[in-house]
Amino acid sequence: MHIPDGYLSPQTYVPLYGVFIVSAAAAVKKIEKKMDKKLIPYLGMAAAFSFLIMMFNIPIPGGTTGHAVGAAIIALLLGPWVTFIAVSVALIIQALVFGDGGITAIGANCVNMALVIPFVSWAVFKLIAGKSESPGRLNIAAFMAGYISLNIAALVTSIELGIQPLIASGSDGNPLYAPYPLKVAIPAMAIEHLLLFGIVEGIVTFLVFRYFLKNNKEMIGVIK
Amino acid sequence: MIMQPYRKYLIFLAILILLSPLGLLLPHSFKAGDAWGEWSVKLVKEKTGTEPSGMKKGAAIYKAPVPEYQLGKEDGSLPGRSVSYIISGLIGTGIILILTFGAVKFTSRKKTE
Repeated sequence: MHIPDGYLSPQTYVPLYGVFIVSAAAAVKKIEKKMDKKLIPYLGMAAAFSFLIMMFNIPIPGGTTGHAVGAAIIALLLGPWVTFIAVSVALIIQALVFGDGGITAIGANCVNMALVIPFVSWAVFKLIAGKSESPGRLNIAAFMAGYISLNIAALVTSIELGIQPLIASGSDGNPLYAPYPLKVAIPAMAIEHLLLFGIVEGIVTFLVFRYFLKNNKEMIGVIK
Repeated sequence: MIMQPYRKYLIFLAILILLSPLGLLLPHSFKAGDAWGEWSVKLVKEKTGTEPSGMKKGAAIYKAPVPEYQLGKEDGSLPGRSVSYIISGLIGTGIILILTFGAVKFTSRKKTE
């Protein structure tokens, strides 16, 4: 899901940088107001967790690869705003140091993975868990939060990629940037995330959630 | 020691770093390529027959110091690439933790002064 340099037209990546910067300013304000300084190390470890989880590429035999992001579970623990900052830190280091995701696409990638996933995850969890205290229902809510949020992120990413041929083409009519139209990009990304990568994000979310539910319930922000 | 309350979590992160080569070995053994939408310009050309000019220009805009989490050649031996992967995990985690734990030290110092 890390969009490389060259895939997005400036008409796409500049506004997405704008969304990223405005959201980051809002996040820092929220965190400064509310967050205990003691939580900063947790933010760091969460960023490291997300960074590492994204290294675990999962293959579709003979096809492409994908990975979980870890942002869904971080959101359930630390809240969506802290998660936005933590996962953005991971994504920026991936782009700058490891060339995973483009420099021009940092805004887009942070919006797709660090902003969309945490907020969708939080909302899905609340919707499914309601006011329930049954561990079974909470665990299912955690899985679904991971599964649905990664799929929404994949959908948003595929739309950003798929609109490129509509936005910019050369004088010969060929696309200048990502060449696949929406009708190719959306199903290509949706199918692999619905069938595999979303499930992996769901399982990661569920496993870590279950651990904290058993051992350290006070850390789970979403059920406070 | 500042790290003490976080020992459990740091050990968990260390385990993830050591296991990270799985993210390289599994795709290799299942013959899976790059993620959809992350292909190189060359691969896009192979698949579509076109080489979008904006994409080609854009792809050359920045060169990362450790591309693809590899310190050596990207098509080097599997064990070598696995070691690179672990070192990359350490580098990434190290940068992140130094930045954030550093921020704690900095803010707590400001308070006491």
